Amino acid sequence: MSDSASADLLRLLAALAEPPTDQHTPMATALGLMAPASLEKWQVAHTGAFIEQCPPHVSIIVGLDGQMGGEAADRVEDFRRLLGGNSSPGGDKLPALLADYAELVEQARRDERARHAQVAMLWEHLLCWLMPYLDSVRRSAPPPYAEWASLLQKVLYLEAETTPAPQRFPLHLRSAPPAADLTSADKVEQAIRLLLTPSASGLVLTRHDLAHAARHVGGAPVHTSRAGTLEYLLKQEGVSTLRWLAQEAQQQHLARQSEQPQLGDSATFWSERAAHTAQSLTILAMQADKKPRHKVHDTDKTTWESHDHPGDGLEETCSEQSAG
Amino acid sequence: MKPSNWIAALNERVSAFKKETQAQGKTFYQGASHIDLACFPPREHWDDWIALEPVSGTGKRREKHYMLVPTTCFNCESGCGLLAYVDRDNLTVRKFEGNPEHAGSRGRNCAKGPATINQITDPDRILYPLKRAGARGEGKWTRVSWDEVLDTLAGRIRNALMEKRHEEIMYHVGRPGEDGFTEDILKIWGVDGHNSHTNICSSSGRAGLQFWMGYDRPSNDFANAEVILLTSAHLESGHYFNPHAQRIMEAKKRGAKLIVVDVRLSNTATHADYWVSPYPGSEPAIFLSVARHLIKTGIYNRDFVRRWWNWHEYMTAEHPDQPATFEAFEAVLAGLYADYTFDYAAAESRVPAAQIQAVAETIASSGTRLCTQNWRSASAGNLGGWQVQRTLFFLNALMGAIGVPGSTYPSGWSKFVGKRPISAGPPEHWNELTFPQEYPLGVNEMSFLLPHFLKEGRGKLDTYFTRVYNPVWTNPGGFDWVEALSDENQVGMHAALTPTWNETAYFADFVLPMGHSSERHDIFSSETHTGRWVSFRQPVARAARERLGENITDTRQVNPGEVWEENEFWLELTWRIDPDGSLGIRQHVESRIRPGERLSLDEYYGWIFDHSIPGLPEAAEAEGLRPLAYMRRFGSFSLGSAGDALYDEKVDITELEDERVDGHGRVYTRSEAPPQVNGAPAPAPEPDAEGRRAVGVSVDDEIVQGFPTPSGRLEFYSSTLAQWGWPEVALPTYIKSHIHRDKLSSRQMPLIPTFRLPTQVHTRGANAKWLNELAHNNPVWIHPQEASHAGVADGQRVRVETELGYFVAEAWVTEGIRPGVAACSHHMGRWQFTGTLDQHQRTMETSLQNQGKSWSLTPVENRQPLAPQSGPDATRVWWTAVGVHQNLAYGVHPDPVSGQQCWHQAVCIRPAEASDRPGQIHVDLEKSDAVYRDWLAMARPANQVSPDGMRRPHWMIRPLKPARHACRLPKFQDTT
Repeated sequence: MSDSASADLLRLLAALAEPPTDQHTPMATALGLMAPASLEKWQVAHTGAFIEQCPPHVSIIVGLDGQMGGEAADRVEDFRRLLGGNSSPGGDKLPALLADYAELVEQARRDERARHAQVAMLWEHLLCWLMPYLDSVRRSAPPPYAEWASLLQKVLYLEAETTPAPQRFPLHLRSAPPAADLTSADKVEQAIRLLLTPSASGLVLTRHDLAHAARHVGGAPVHTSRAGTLEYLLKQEGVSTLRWLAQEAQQQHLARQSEQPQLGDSATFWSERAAHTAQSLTILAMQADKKPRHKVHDTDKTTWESHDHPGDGLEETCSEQSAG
Repeated sequence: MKPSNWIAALNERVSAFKKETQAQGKTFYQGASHIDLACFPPREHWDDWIALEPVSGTGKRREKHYMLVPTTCFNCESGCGLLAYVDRDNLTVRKFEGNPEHAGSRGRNCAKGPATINQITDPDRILYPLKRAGARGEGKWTRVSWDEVLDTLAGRIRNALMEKRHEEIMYHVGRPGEDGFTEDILKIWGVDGHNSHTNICSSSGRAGLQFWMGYDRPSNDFANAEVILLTSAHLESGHYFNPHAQRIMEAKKRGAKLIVVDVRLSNTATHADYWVSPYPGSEPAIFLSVARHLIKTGIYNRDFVRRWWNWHEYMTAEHPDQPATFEAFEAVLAGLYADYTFDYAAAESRVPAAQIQAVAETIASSGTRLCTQNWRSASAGNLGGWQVQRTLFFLNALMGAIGVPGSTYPSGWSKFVGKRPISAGPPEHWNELTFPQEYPLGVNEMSFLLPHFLKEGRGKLDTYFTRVYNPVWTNPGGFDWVEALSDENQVGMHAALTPTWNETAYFADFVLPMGHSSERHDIFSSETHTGRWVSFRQPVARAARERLGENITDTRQVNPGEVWEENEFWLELTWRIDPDGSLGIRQHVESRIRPGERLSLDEYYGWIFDHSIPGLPEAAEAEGLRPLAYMRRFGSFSLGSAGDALYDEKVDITELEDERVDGHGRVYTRSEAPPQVNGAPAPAPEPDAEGRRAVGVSVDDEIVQGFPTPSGRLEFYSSTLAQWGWPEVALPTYIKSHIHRDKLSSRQMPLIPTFRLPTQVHTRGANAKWLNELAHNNPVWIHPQEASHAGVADGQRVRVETELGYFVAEAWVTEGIRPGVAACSHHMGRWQFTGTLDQHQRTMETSLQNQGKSWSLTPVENRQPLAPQSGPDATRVWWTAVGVHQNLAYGVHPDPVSGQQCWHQAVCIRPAEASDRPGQIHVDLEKSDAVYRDWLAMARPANQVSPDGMRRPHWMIRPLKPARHACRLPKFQDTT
């Protein structure tokens, strides 16, 4: 009896995250997941999970600026080249990585080089980013992808248990930007950018998360980019939004902290960054809460004068911290 | 549910789903994986492989387009596959990596393969043919044309052949790195002129195997072994070590036990489960004690011994008073080795008896999965060293661990040599300079005695080719070689075919630049494991240009300068030796496709690949290629395994015609032998008195293939040894070495000079900077105990006194060698003369002096390796040591049976004198002559011991075996 996932199990998990086909239902059934009733519903679910909410790119989670591509994607590409693979656009997407990993798991049974590569891939290119990402899928994706994410997490925890971590910290995380220091951000936009750079803030924030925040703080539903949503919420319900974000950051910190026994330094990385972000957000919320209502020096005087405007408070708080 | 349960259940469910899906004819998984774990560029991308390469100083990378062209490494005899990365912009080679299509090396290489780039880009390499301008060794050269070279050599050879001076033409090869081409050329010329380095290398190892099973080399199935027994530092430096090492490591990871018998704590010994460090030369005592254990405890494979050993012949010949039954033999066997107790072995070897017993019990647990290897090592070091291999293989023979998975296979099963389009008959002459009568059982040419033979007036050489061989540096007694090569009466014309400068080339008349591995054609196969493969070495620039549509007809068109390749050189030389065809030579190298023109290499190799490699034409067709194009594209072809236990295969009934079974079960037949498909070297058992050929052996009333030995069985008892003057050593036994403790004075200790530096290449590595950076010194290993006794500190200069003189080296005081023994690798100490050429190879600048028979070599600049004085390399040569050329100070020690140089030395080590320089050597050649005569006196010449009038046992393997009548001793030739 095997203590870890078979290559075929990993392949099914990978295939399920690929664009749906008529094979998705039997695959989901084999994995014990509920399947949408039709291919069209599969497509809706898949679009919701991986296009609207949780784009499955390594580079978004561990890249320098939370964007697709860049050096993080190059690292994945380099690794694949090293293994004799071909480059392909979007090669840092989770289904491709999982498929590669499945291949290595299979070959590792008879090839020590493959075993070596399997270990490297697991720790360097999967475990270092997938847990915060999969948590975001669990929170944000429709069925069956939330369940899929839970299953994949369980499988990966097992992989981590049965595959000792290399001594070196994953290069993706070694190359990560410094922890987000929101209190020294000059502009709201800069702070938002840091918040939405997972490797800096330690947070993964989806549209779904921000919609939840909007409901929580009593803001109006917003249908724009995550950065636009955040900016709007901060302007509308600044202190509340900061508190919500701090709470979310704290939850993500705790989630990552709980993974330290299995994932070691990788979990610590995310946990510490999320904790730092939670702390910064809390400070900012407190400072913003204490600020008197005042006029701002921008052109939107009418709006500012008529509303509680903590977003500008944040901007000034950021500037003060930076100057100090 | 416990984790293992839920995941197992899930795995099971997925597995069931997969089966169900596939049962419906559907694809379970479309295969999104991007990984081809070959770890190499997939071969479909070899025409245009795009690599991301850093742009210096920018932190950016750019795409670089390569054409990947396979070839075969030329830096040792493993023949590993290389892939040359040819820059598509300018068609130059940028780097070498492994060829994943190569079945032996599987894409992996040692440092020597990639370092080929150093050799081909070496600014000091020889680029043009050079002709001596002053006296030999004076170091003055003029550039000449290939035409002048060819016409000069062709004229001399033609004259020699016409004047019946065939024995004056000699080709002396280091590592051939090819299978059969040059021997074919010598056959065309009709000369028995092949000379090799084998008797300074592996002859004793070969003898020990040949007297057992006919084949003279092992092929190891390390990957499937349970117990691996290496009598050498084989894991990191033995023959075929890269293909072997990777398989040994596979076995170790699987749990196989590794036993290493090595005086030194080598890198191999550090990986061992048992490191056995014996007093040198005592190895047979250890192996025989293990054999005794196997026999005494009844663990040996009784049925294998009964079926496959020639015990019946032994009992009949040596115990005629006893019944020739297996039971009687077993009783005799037990008695034969009764004295080889663990305590006796311990006393001889100084290895604790308990360790020997533990090793014996480990071997006893191996079943038939015992894989043993000894290439040079102890066999090459000791008088009687061939019994090291014979007693080692005794263990395989006892366990039945021969030719079955995990065991030691005969070389001929794992090497493949195809037929070639050049096919001349054997030479009609026997060359006494290479196979003298004193050494009838000598496995290969007595090459290292050549200068002594010339000095004695046994003959002379009109035209002498050294080909990638450096006897002045490699052989014992190098000053004897200097004397011989300097004397035009002994060597009329010396042409050195070499890719790099070497010590011997300084004494040549022509220095002829030959290509490295990416600049030449060869076909090569080695018995690296149980699978057979054929590898194609090719000029990669030529292949690259041909892929782009160019027509290249001569490799000089693409090589640097006027660097050529030997095969075109030999064909052209042969063509010119016989310009009108009157000598019957020219027609052998004439094109069959274009009569009147010389055979081209495309035609030559095209014919071989079309006709001689089973399965290759079909594989090529599947790729839409001709076989030659397939080999140019992929570089290697795997023929797969020949099978297991071939000795137990039945002889086809069609081969049995008027068969006769002799008294010991040897079967002879009158039927014609089937056409030979594999031309790998194999013995040729003699026919019976009525002319029937040996076809097999009768075992339990079945006629099976058996072994290619005189008896058809494994020869525990060698009738060859018994009949050719050595009856006392006809069984596996222990011959006390010339450096046995009983033979040394109280001041002397044995010195082991036979081990390699893993990254060095004998004579080929001087211009490989990377390799020299890795290893550039050969200090004398000495145990702290002896160092203290001799007053020598680590790093201190020592004078090592030998029987001919002394050399000066650095001491390395280490517990990595057993007490009472010293060691010094033979790989370093390359030298050149001051002022001879503007060479910057990493060698020692020296002066060579002699007064009468007293010779010395003195480093001019204290241990400074010559290095480029400008350019990036000038600052990158950080090391200063170059080692010492110890072989100059060693006398010739031909083993009287195998003919092998017995390398181990009895030396005295003391602190150097104040004026001594590292690398300094002094030798008295009168002593060299005396040593030669002493060892020659041990020989038992054929004219005294030959039982059948032959010069040597005709069944034994011999390169370029002459026609049968020429193999008879002169006094018997008139009667034939």
